[in-house]
Amino acid sequence: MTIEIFFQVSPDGAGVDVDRAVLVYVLTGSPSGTFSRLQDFEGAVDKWAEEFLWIQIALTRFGWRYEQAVFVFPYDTD
Amino acid sequence: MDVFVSNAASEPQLWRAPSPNKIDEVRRLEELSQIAEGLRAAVLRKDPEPLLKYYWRDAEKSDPSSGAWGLPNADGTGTYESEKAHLANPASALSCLLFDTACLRAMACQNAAMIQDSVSQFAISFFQGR
Repeated sequence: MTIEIFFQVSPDGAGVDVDRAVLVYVLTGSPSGTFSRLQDFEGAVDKWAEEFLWIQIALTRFGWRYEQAVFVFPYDTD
Repeated sequence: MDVFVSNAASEPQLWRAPSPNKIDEVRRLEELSQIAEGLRAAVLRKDPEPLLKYYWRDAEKSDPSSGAWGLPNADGTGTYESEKAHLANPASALSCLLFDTACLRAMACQNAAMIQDSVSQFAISFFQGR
């Protein structure tokens, strides 16, 4: 298993830049193991929990917090 | 376990390293790697405490500075205490999703619409490599 870490810095509702991170766990040797961009994983949600899992967290004044929940399903993210 | 880091993207204006300071970036990556590994280990140990560490506390959600990030946990109905209780309850959906594949499969049989077939094996099985 490998872990890939993706960064995102984007404004929140108040226009303040917020650090986000997506931590992706990928089964070694799976087709998803060749992905190098977060968009690749987002485009392969049918492989969720079979080849990879992810957690999306944001850095707040309180520390890192889940944007929604731990190991949230992709279809819950929007 | 190997850890790979990427900020490559087709839209560099959206995805980029969080800081121009390389030292800060290295520290951030180390921190995130530790978080990721800690969460994986917690699932394998069936230990909810490390998982709870990154949930919004109820007091934080009411802090004005939380802004758009001060969202309830999970599906919008959870509180820190309720999530903690769910994680501690082996019969809860959340506990099944994270810690008990057999329980999750039973739930899927009872309510196929609630849990997709694609997630019939979830966190702990995933981290165990099945």
